[in-house]
Amino acid sequence: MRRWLRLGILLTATSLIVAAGDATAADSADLLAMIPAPDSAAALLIVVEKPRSVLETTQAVAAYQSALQSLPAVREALDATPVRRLKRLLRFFESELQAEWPVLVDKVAGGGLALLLAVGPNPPPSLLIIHGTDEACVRNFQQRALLILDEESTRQGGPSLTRQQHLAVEVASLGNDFHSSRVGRTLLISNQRSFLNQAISHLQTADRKQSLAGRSGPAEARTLLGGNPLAWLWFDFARIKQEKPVQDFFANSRKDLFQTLVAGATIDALRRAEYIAASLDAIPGGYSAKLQLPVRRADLAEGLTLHVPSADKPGSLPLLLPKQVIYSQSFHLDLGDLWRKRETIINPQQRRQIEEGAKQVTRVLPNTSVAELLEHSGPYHRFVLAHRVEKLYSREPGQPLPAGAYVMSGCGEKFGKIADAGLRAAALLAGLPYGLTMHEEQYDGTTIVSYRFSESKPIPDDPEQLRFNAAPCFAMVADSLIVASHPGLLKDLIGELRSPRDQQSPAVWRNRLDAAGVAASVRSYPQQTITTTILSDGVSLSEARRRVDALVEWIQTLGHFEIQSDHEPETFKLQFRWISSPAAAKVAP
Amino acid sequence: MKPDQAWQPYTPSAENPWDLAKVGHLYRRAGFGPTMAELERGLADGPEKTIQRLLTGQPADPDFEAASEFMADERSLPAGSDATQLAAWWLARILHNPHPFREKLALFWHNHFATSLAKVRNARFMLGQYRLLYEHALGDFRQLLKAITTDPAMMIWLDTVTSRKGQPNENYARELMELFSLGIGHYTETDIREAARAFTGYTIRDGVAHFDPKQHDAGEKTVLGQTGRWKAEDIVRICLEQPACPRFIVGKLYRAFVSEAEPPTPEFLEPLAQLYRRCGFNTATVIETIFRSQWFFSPAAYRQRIKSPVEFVVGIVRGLEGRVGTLPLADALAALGQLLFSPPSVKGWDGGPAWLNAQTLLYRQNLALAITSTEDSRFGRRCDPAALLQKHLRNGDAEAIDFFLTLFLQNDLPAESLQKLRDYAVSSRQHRFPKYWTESDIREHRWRTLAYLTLTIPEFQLA
Repeated sequence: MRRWLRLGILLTATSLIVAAGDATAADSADLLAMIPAPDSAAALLIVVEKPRSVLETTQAVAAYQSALQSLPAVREALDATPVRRLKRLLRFFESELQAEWPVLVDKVAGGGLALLLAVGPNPPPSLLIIHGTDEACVRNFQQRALLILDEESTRQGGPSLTRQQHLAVEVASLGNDFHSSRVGRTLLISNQRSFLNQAISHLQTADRKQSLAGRSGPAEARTLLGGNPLAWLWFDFARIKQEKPVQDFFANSRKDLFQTLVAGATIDALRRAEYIAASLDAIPGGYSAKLQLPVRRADLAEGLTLHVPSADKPGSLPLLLPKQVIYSQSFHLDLGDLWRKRETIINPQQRRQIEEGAKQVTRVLPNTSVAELLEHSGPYHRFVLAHRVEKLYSREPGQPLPAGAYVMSGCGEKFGKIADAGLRAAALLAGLPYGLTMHEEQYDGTTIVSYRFSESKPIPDDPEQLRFNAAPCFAMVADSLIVASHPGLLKDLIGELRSPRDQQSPAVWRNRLDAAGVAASVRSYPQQTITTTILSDGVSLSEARRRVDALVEWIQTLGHFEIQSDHEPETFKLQFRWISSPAAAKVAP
Repeated sequence: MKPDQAWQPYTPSAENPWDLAKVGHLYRRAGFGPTMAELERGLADGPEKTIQRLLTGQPADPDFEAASEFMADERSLPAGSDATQLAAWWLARILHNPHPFREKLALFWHNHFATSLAKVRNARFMLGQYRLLYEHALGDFRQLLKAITTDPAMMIWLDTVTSRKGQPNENYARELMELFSLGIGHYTETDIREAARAFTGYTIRDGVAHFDPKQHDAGEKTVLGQTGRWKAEDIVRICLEQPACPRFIVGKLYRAFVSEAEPPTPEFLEPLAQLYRRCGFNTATVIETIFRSQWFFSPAAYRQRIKSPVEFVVGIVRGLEGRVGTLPLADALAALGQLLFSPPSVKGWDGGPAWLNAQTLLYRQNLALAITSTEDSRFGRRCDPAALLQKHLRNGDAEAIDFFLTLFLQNDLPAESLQKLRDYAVSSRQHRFPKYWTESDIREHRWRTLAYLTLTIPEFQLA
């Protein structure tokens, strides 16, 4: 099994490298027309229209180049025996076919490649199609690739290559799970002989109706994705939804409050989707990937509008980006709406528990209640983690943690009064066992209330002294409540709320991970990273320090990574985006 | 062999010469297996000097100590570290410590006072226990037993921290007598109940043991025939005073360092037990006597133990002079049944034949392949048998076979195993390799395979 897996990896890697050309970008419809539609199973289709662009884009990314240059671990990985062997294999093809790999790529796979994976038992059929532009070169490539496979299989004690005919086309097989053929300038590889035969017949008859081009899903997905992606995929979700476990998941998730709160609208979009479409694009400095579902915002299930505002309101407020930010999140979740509609949204058992909990908490809240707090709260929430250099105490925590803050929007002036009173009461109760002392200060016209732990009182439940990472504090800025673990961060956020560096967005859930903040954090507290480097790479302490320094420098160049979800009028979109730092370009050649 | 003769020093003779097999045997027992340089030096130096070198270790290596201490810092290895990280830290010490014998003893005591992170849930406490075991590994067992009694990891592991006046927990008292000092049959249930009262009132404060007189049962207790207002250290003293104590510990040392094939009679071990008491429970003295003895270098001890997973893996990596990461090694050891700091129960690992079954044997072979093939991303080319051959200026298949068999088996193997290696070397030349492989690729691949095949010879499983 392991042997075949290795063979598969070798073959796939070779195919991808050799199939990375863009001499003539194929029309997706042509590729789809070459693939016979699987009979009844659901299917996953991955299409690379311009294979060469994938490699060229990767090579052009500055972070990739700087990783090759500056990270010893990467250099070591590239010097590993399998990678050396792969490089040698590539040189072999270049030598045998008398062309540099970019030219080979153009000839062997300039028409694009498509991989169809059926989903089902026994095992389901799969088919890889590599469409070339030069028939002679494709033929030569195939002959040598099969020879290599045969030799590799023999070396490992596996079966030898056998050759048979189907409709006057040669089919080469290695054991039961690898079958390959060539029709003109198209290479076909499948794990099932019968499916390969079907593909050969299909190519000869060229009946579009019997192909994936004749099915609505893939073509629709491609249209929905638009643009000029490096790669895209279509997943036949309509058939998957017919499976009992999937149906049970959707039925149960709606009853579960936690799932509803965290991803209710997303799960609902998935429930309504007939297919899933995704694409990978190159953008200046990085990559962008998106996943789209063909579902309408107006059809969102009753009760799940707590995740999605009305069209005239922003989906989320600006991301908070204080100095040395590590992670920032902004999302829409209307807790007031949830509380008001709890009879329909929350299942009876959980609702009773929540109402009982609210009663208990209300007892310690002065002149207010949980219900009042929720009803006056706003639908916008933001969370941020940032690296801070200032020490909060003379005693250091055993484990340093980044500072964190949560910002909640409110509805009207009353929210501030309720939140202030509630937090003071909660701090009074929670602070007793920890010896918290309260301080108030004015900062930029805002009252900051902060609490400090006693440095002399032992706390048995905190063996790592984690409490010395935090001096809990809060403040109200306009109608927003800020609760933070670090007064310095809170002060930064006061400025941020008044002059945001980011903008509000129609996306209802946004996340951003900033590499510079991560790098600053690792640089300040490198011990765990150095230790892990020693233990995983088997290097000396001084070498590990060098490696971590290089790693931190490299992380610094990675810019930021974003994920956001948006319920657009006609589609649900989950978007990933990575943009490297402009500094990365200076590192790369 | 009679007891008084068995423990007499071994002296090389024409009939029983000092040879490579004995050097390898000594290095497997007093460490984790030899390198080629150690084998050659051991053979040249003779038993006296070689044993002395193993017992005292090589000069301290400042780089090793600095790296180990750095990784043991609270910021590097916090209390919440997982078992694999913790095990990897110790494995790094085992691999690189210039005093491997001391690590071997620490491992012995870890199995003797088997404590697991699974219950302790605090890597700092486990690390503290390791330091304790390492510090006393070769020293006075009485001090070790006293110190382990109030070791925070042990106090959590055997519930001393929850033992209160009026509600004594018997776990520590029972294991102190049954597993740590006397063995079954040398105490009664009443002794345990009474002793448990003496262990009340001990808690952990700021990471160290703290005695709370209010929670301690200060009444009179009668334990093993002695009556008094005993505290924890008194019970430890009473156990150590029992004649069964040195016999029990010596018996465990015998199984770990001499043979696990057949249990020796009490009479056979009596000279060692008497020595242990006479020298004040100095473990190094007893072990040195064992290593210098005729019995140790006789067939009764030679290859009479099955390698533990740690011995198996570390022996390969040391032998190949590799510099692999210990995190993947620790992971692999868990699959082989020996994750350090996580013994399966208070009795430790069963050891002996329990280490091997069809599955673990297959895992051992797969791991040997992963380490030697240079094709596994966990280990890469950091432990390359072909590079080692080049370093030692060995060329050609015959030299490769001779090198690996000397290194790992000291050329002591059945003729048919040797023939299989030679057959492979010949037959592999007839194999058809992919066209893009160079001559060098093929040769190095063959040498790596020869190293791997050496490690699959059954005798390599024996210590």
